[in-house]
Amino acid sequence: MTTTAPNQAGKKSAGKPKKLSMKARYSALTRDLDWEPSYVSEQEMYPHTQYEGIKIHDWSKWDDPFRLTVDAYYRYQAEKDKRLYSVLDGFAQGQGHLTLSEAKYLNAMKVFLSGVTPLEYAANRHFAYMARQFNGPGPRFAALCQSIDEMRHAQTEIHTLSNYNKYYSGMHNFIQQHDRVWYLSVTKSYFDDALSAGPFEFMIAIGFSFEYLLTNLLFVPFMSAASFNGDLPTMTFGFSAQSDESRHMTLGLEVIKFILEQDEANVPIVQEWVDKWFWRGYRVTGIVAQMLDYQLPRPVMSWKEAFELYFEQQMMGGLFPDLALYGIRPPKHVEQAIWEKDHLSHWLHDTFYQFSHAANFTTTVPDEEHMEWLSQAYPDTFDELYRDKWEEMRKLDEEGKRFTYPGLPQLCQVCQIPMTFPQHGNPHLKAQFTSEYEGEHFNLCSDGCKWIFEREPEKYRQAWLPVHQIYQGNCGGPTIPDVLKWYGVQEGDNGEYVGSVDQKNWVRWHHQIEDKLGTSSEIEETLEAEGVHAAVKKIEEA
Amino acid sequence: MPTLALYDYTVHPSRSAQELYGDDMLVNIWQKDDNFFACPCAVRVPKAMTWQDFYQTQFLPYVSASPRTTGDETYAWHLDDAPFTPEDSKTLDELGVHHKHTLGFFKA
Amino acid sequence: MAEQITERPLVSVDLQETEENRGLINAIEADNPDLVINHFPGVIKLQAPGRLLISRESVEAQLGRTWETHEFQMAIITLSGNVSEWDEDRIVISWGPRVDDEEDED
Repeated sequence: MTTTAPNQAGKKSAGKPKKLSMKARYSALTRDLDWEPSYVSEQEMYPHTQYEGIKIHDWSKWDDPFRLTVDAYYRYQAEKDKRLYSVLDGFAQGQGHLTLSEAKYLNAMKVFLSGVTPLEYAANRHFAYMARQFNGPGPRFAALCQSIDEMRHAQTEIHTLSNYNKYYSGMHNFIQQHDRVWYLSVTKSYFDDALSAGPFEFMIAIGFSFEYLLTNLLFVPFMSAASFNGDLPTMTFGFSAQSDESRHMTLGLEVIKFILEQDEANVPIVQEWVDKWFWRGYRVTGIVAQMLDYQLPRPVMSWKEAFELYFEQQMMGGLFPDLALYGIRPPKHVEQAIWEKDHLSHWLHDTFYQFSHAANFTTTVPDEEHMEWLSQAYPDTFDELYRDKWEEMRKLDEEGKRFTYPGLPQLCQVCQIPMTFPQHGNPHLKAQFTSEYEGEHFNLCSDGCKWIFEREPEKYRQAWLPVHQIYQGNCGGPTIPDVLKWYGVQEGDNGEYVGSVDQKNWVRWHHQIEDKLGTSSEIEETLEAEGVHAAVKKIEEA
Repeated sequence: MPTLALYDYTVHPSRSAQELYGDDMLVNIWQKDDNFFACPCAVRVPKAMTWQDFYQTQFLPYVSASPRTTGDETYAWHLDDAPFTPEDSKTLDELGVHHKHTLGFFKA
Repeated sequence: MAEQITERPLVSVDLQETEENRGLINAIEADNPDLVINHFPGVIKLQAPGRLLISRESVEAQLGRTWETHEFQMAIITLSGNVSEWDEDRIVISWGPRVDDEEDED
């Protein structure tokens, strides 16, 4: 490292100091800063890396293909932020929110902000722990960079969406809601499950299963959709985060190969984690499935298409044949996930629709054009299985009987999603699995969640299931209004989109922009007195 | 496989145990022959509630909220996977309906 | 021959489709004859059977300026495959076992 230090460079005899190769620099600036403990044992210094049964013989075999060093890291991260913030500024100054495809597009962002952004922050915390606890300097440094990345992601996401929070509902209280709202316990408990595992399991859970296997499904089609729906800032933060994500994916793949190469005894342990964390992660990405197919006014890629491209082709076709060389087979229950690709978003958005009175977003029945898109995207299932029910919902709504679910849902003990999933292979009958542990009865949504529960019932019996907690009186009171108050839900945050605060504002603002005839006050009166439909009709007549 | 930890992990209690509900318990109601409801529902009821009360105060309001059923239909029942025969005057507890069990119903 | 190639699992990189990345994308196209290209809003997806090469020299020729391989991080959205080589001259993404590289064995 001496050759690059500026204060010593001048003292060298002749000519410029020779620039180190990228590999040599990486080695000098990460590995060579490591030391062997002398007054404590290695085990005392790194007490968390043995109890999971993973055997590591040589930490120096860890390789970081990105050869990232601190100076390069900060230089590129700063550049990424600079690009993002110039987009944010321009968008805010130019009233960019008015160029979105529709106000209801932001429902997807409300789910993202309250469901995903807090996970970025949780990842920041836990990778900082990894950066302290791993014995080898290679993984410690990679974890440190990822920790800082995750903080950047949380901050840039909050900053980006804060501009929308000035104009739209549902985003003002996302941190508290992440801890409290029923459906957000799905993402929160998933990450808590990983945080409370050992360091190697966490790396397989988040570094490998989430970052490598599944994160593409979350970010890539979604950010592409942001671009398609006029949401430039989200597209920019998404791609900015994704540029780090490819480093995280590489770390995730590196970690699994490193562990597998270190000792054959590690293979069955890792396989069980891959099995567990594939299913845990897959269930969480169901929320993304319904965002892609239902919450985007201009859909861009269906869940089915994204799943085929980013999971079946890239993971089942590329990654798993590669991992077979290490003795790893594709995850258990993956066949069910593949079968579900034709159905998943329809079940989950139905659930969101029926429970949106108790959430931080609004929903509405997809319009005819959107249903036509769904029908084309899902030629084998939508018309046959799902269209009729949406027509029925629309009819009820037109009769003034907009349907909301009459009660609280039964939840799966592991994934915490309402038990909406049908049996594998039979879309007509919902699945119910049960398990007993120390005399207590537990309900589970699938073979996958039951298998996970029965591996560690002493862990999953501690789950904080929102419905059970409401009934224990821990969530503000016994009635839905009590609970909504405890969630911090305000007027306009929840329920039906048509006629909501956001939709009314959207109609009002867009009319003001186009108002050549000076009819703003007339429209305003119609909006207040007769509602959104009448106001829109009036605008069209003018 | 037990949860791996640096200490005895079995000490953490359930957050859903029946004891946390006093003399009450949770029961799930699941319409098996129709998927209008997105999922089954969970209700909190006294263990000593009679079937008749359960039917009137929990089941009927639920089933009649679906636009596809009125509550006047005749239903057959399952308790978890097994066929189940309710008796109006018996309590849920006496009928073997316990905490977090699922009562499935379908048109008879 | 062509059939053999298509049987190799595809490696893939998704890049932001921007004016700034145009030169990089052209260079990758030129260096990887079997490249399959797909466009999505804001995204260009590049797939190649088995192996994909990004060469500094080709990118620099396209851009007309010096280009560090680290700059690839500014363009990439996601990848499928191992980063099997990354040094000052090139980046290689491929499937297959890890290659031990001597320089790290210090």
